[in-house]
Amino acid sequence: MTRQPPALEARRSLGFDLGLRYALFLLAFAALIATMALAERFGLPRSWIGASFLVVTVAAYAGIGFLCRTSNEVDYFVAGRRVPALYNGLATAADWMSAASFLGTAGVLYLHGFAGLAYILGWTGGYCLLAVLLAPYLRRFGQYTVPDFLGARYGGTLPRLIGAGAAVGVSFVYVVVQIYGVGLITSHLTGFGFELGIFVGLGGVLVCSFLGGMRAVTWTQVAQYLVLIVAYLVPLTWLSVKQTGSLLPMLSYGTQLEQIAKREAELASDPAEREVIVRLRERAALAERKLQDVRAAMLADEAQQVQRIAALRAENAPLARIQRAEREYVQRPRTEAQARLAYQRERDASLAHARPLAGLAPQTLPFATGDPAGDSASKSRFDLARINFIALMLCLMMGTAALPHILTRYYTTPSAAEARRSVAWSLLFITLLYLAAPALAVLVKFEVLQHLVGMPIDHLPAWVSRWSRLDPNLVSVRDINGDGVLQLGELLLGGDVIVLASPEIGGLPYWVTCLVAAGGLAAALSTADGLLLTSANALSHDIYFRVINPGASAASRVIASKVLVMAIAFLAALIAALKITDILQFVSAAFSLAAAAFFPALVLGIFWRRANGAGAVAGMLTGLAVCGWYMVTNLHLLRSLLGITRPLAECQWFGIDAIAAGVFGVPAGVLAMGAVSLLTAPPDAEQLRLIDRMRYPQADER
Amino acid sequence: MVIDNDRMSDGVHRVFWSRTKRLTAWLLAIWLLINLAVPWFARDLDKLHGFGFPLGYWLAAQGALLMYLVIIVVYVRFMDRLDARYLEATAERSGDRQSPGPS
Repeated sequence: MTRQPPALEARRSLGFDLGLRYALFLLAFAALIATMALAERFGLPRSWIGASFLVVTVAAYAGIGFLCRTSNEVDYFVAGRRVPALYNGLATAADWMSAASFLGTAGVLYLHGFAGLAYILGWTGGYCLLAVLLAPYLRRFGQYTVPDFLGARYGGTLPRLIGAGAAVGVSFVYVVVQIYGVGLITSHLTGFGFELGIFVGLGGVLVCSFLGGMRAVTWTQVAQYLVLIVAYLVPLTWLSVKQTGSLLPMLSYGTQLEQIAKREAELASDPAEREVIVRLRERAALAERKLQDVRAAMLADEAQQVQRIAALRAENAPLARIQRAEREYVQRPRTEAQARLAYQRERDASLAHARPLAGLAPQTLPFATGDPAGDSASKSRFDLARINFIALMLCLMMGTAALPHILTRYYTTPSAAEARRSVAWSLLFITLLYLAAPALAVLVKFEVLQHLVGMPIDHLPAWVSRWSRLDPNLVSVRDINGDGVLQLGELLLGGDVIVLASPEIGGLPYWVTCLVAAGGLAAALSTADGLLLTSANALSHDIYFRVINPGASAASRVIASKVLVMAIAFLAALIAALKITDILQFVSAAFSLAAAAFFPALVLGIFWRRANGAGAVAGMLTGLAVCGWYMVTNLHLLRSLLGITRPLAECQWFGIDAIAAGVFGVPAGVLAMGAVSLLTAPPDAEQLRLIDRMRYPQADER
Repeated sequence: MVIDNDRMSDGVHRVFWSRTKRLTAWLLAIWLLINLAVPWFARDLDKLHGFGFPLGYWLAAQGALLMYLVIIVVYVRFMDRLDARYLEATAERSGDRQSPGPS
């Protein structure tokens, strides 16, 4: 491997050249937006606008991927190690911000208020760990993958294999969710079916990672970051100008916070809202009664539906209403199990909605489930919420610093010093979006509480019916107290639509919605690219080349990785097409697992000379086992899958939620690693030389 | 065991690494303090207001993020300086000998 650092001048001119190209890209993107805004004014059909955004942006990504195609090993695995810090920062930001970050974060903040800030803090604070503990050292080590480091530092194949397995497992779960997001957005944007949407989006991903590996992915991700940040800031700024006249919503949304707090207090004591709550409790009680004798309730419901259709026909009701009643009749639960599930859902949904403010947490009050000044039960609820907030935040931070697809990005800079600088750039660009997310949540909430609630139900804006037709689990409105006016308790607004529907909620033109969708697509595609490449490289480089066939030539390794990228992408698409929505639980779980598997082994490998292979294996396995055990016994889905009946309260340690299992896994891993390392032989001379090489700067580095 | 048998270079190495560790430890301590104090005292901090923001909420939504950024920038600055000093010292010492760890 040659390691000739490019001369400073060459680097500068490269930076200038890149700057010019991306400036042109931004201009072209602005021209696309302007064209679409004009086209909408001249009456271009909506599906055309959506499809144009989709086709043009995906074609641009594919074009960049095609121009950067390569079969060279260093280019393919680590982008030639000449990505300047700034551009690596942009690419990392796109790699990092997934569909869930882009579409989901503001929604979580809208629904859960202060509690959602654990994600904001966790997903940014982790970069401090990355900067001071990992990125520069891994860069100085300078191979291709994270398992590479484990293999070289600890010797033997076992640490490498465990690392590769964990990298593939974590990345694969994550990539399935990205592809699911791609399918969702493309089908919303164009009206294609969900499955077709997946495969169209997949085409865009594959052109990059398949043709050009890390090199193509890097330069595409830079473009994708630009698209996604514009797509996030345009509707936010526009909403802010509409509401407060301020061009800097991140600084000025405090005024809206005050308005929301006032409105929340008003709604809490509003008699109509209270009536809705009483009605919802009645519904829940009715569903509970039906659950006592499901068989009888089914028959009664069926008879009632038949009667209602007859009555509607008799009174010559509008056709739409009759059809709706008939549709409900056709879709009625057919078996007792289905009916039981439907009644349970009805009961739980009604109870959830019967809470004050329809279950929305107060926007700013921390740990609102309890009160430190209240009685002892309320006090302990407060403490529990506070502990869980900190545990989740720390888990997300350690997971952030241990996710293989992010760590690999810092192999691509020219030097360790550039890697450090690059982390700073990464965090700056990520922070830009995460500073905007709470502001967007607040502006949307203001719009909903101030304008939407209290509107006559017949005159609700068009987006309400459009979204509820698309998916009633995301948006639905029921006039529960029959007064013809929308109360907060009658509106269901899912967290996943907050960002995507924010332009419509704020009354902005349709092209802004398409822009936001294109941004979400960019976020999903960029993350999927990085993840696909990471899992394919773990398999091709660490398992195939290092373990199975060490004689493989550089060219055949690149080919192996390309074939695996294809295979993994199709497997992930097939799984995503099954639409297992519960998979979202596993994303948060992936952070805990990544933290437990990698964090102790990586950090101690750099900072503790005495850490050895046996210790690392023990640490990784213990961390994974503790984490896995806690999740199996505490995650709702896994509990029901494995038939665990022990009460949840007994399975919990210190009342910590399952998604923060990493707070147990990481310390357990550190302890196991420390103990086993000390009990076995110290690392050999070659491993110690590697530690020194990582710790000290080299003369040719700058 | 250590890179080089030269005693002087050993000193240079030790100084570099202990300074690096000290800087890392300090920055991580500040980082941890932010992480624990901001959520822990959020309710109490919320009693203070500015520009419409309760302080505890503002710190968790924005302030802490900016502090993280400052931590990394400080690290970059100081490490650049430490690197330069280290490379100067090792270059002065040996014209012909390799600096540690050929790649």
